[in-house]
Amino acid sequence: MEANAVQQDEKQLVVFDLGAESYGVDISAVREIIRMQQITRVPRTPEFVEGVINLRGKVIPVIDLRKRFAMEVGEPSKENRIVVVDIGGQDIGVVVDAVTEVLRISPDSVEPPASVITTADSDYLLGIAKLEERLIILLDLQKVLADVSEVAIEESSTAELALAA
Amino acid sequence: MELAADITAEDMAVFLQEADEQLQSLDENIVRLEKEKENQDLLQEIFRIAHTLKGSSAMLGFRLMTDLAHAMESLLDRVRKKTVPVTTQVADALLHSLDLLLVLKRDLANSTDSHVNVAPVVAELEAASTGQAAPGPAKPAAAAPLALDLNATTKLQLAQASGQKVHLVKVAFNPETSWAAVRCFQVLQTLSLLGEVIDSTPSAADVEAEKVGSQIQALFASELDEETVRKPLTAIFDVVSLEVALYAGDGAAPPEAKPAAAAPEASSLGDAPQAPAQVQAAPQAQTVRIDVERLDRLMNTIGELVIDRTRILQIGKLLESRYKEDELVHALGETSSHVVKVVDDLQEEIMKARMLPIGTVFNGFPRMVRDLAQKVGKQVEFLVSGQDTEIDRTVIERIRDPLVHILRNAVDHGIETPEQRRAAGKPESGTLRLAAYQEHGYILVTVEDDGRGIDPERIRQSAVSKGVITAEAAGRLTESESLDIIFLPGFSTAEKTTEVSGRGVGMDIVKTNIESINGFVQLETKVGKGAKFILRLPLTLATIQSLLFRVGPTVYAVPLIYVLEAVIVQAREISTVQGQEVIRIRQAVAPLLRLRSAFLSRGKDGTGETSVVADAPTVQAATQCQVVVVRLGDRFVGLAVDALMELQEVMAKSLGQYMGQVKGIAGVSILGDGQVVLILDVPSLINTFLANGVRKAGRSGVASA
Repeated sequence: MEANAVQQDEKQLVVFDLGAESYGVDISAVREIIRMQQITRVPRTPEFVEGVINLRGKVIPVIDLRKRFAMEVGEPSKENRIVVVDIGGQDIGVVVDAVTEVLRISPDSVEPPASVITTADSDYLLGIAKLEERLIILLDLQKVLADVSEVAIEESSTAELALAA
Repeated sequence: MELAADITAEDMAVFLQEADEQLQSLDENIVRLEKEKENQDLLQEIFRIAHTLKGSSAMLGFRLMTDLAHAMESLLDRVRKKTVPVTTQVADALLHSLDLLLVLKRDLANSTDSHVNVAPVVAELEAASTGQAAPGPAKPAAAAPLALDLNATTKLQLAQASGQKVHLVKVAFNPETSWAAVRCFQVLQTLSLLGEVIDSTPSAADVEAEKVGSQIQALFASELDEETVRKPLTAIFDVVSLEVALYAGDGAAPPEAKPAAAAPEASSLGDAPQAPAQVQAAPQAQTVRIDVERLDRLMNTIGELVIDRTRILQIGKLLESRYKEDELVHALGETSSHVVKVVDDLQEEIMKARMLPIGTVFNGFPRMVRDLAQKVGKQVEFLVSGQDTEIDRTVIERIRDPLVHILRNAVDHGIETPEQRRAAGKPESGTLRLAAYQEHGYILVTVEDDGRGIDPERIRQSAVSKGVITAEAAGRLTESESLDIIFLPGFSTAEKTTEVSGRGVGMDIVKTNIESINGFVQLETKVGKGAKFILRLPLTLATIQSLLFRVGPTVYAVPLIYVLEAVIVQAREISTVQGQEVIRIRQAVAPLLRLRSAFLSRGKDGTGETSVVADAPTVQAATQCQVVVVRLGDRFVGLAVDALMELQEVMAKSLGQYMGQVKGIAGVSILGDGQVVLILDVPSLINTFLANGVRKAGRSGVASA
């Protein structure tokens, strides 16, 4: 279904690297891309919640996508970026290895997610864009981040129990 | 409504339109008549209108209006025949009738049932026509309609605009009761705890003056639904009927916006209601009612400005040091320092705009205490001081319930009966003092009685028998710890639940309410001598005076209201009691909470935090550590931090719904340099932590509830 939706017309993607893979998210969900900055950790939150940052006077949460997908933690680099996305009216920052480009893809190049095995859970994928030499995984960030709050609650209550024990 | 069955919509529309014109004309003419007493044409015109109204309403079967118009007609007929002169009494009676007609017409237009009682006004008209004094001005308001004055109309519109529900509450009491005024007061009191009473008949002033009948009506705005409004009212004694209905009168069309003379409190007949609405409204234009939410938004916006202000100042200084000679930079510097001043002024003004004298909460209490004392057969002298102390209105809203509860407790349980007091060698009348004053940037509110005090031993026993704690644990509690039990959920020392205090609101609610606004409750008591509750409250909720400190790379802010002191503790001064590190604070043993390990270690195995966790032992092994001592009530807890920073006002922001509630963290704030700080939630921190401590100290100590 969702793959079909992508095929309706040409889409613009923000493409970023995460480990060895390239991911793309729909540009309409992306508010801005900022450099890494000091992130204030919030105690007793799940591992992948990096903390909060001050985005021009607004405090927004930041999550690490590598940790979210249980990938190996990468070396910090100058290329690291925070992609700020709008999830249901709230801005959330997502740490990625590097933002590489903004790309137009034609609907023909997108295949359903099942055909390729990726690191990210296939539930979170909208499809795979096959370009000449590489694959771009179309990520449903809304879904990834919406799920986070559920995970967050579970994990933090576990954390609480651990602390209370 | 019982109307004639064969009325068509057109008939009704015609009637309403005519009635509109007729009532308008009555309004003008009656006022004129009072000045032009001999004007027969005018009198004739008024008579004609009353007569027409009588006829047309009778056709519709609208009895109430017919009765009223008939009484008006009779009076006017006597005036016309010169058997009765045009007096103020006559004019008043006619104007009161007009007010009632307007309400009746509105109810008809809205197809709502009229519960207006026309009898008193009819009686007033009859009295006027015989030249007698109107019957009992002591009870005029009992059934008079809710003719809203301008103020009430504005309130109504505001409430409706903000999406609140407006209910018309009608309560009738047993007419035999000699407590009607008290019951009316209870209704108003109950309602005002749930929402806002826009207007009532009899008015609060009339109730205060005991000018009441056996019923009361109130327009009441709140978020609550009918059931929720109804429930607490049913608990009031002597209530024989209770109606709660959505109020249909729409705020957009204020025909009920009568001059203040028509307001219930003006129903004393002495007031000659000649002043037209405009004249009366003029002085009210000095104040503007503003939605608190709007003030909040304003406050937040200014908070952003304050942050930028600091930033601008810093950048300005940098520029000046870099381009010393540049005139433009100087000009910028001057402008920015002016901006800084203006922003500070703005902040102060808006803070003041949010302040109200605490007397707005206190005002209802003397009456409440008096009634309560009478009811339970106590003699209480109630002394109130410090009503002028100003405090943020958000705080005001949140302390009413706790104070009501503490005062009730004091009268009901604290102060003894006159006989008991005499036997104890005390004056028969107990003294209850309510005081508010400002101290070091906080507001202290104290409630002190000279009653029997609270006996820690009795609390201990009661707690054990109720299964709140085990006997073994009780034996280990100190006196002050025993007193703390009264703040635990579900605990009450009252041997029998009385109507007065047995309303399910315990001291735990008091504590939770106060803590939710960054304040705390302390109890001091001496058996046989009395008890004193001390509420320590912040001046405002908008900014929080805080002490900043660092743990690892993170800056935290702890609201100063909780901070007792900051001390350096030597490693050898730290001892361990049953696995819990403790330090001595002012002769007391206080647990030491190392924020570094509480906050930095993750709930799981600490993956990704290895570096931080690894150096934690280094800190523990250090020869000394910086401790911020916080208190909650009379508990002390030492917080071991890495380094102290400074005192600063911070604006609290929430972590946002994405992060939700994080235990131990009340919110975040942004400092002048853009750094994000986390604001500690001291009650949640201590409660979580001390619960652990108790569990560690004695496994079987606390019965698992």
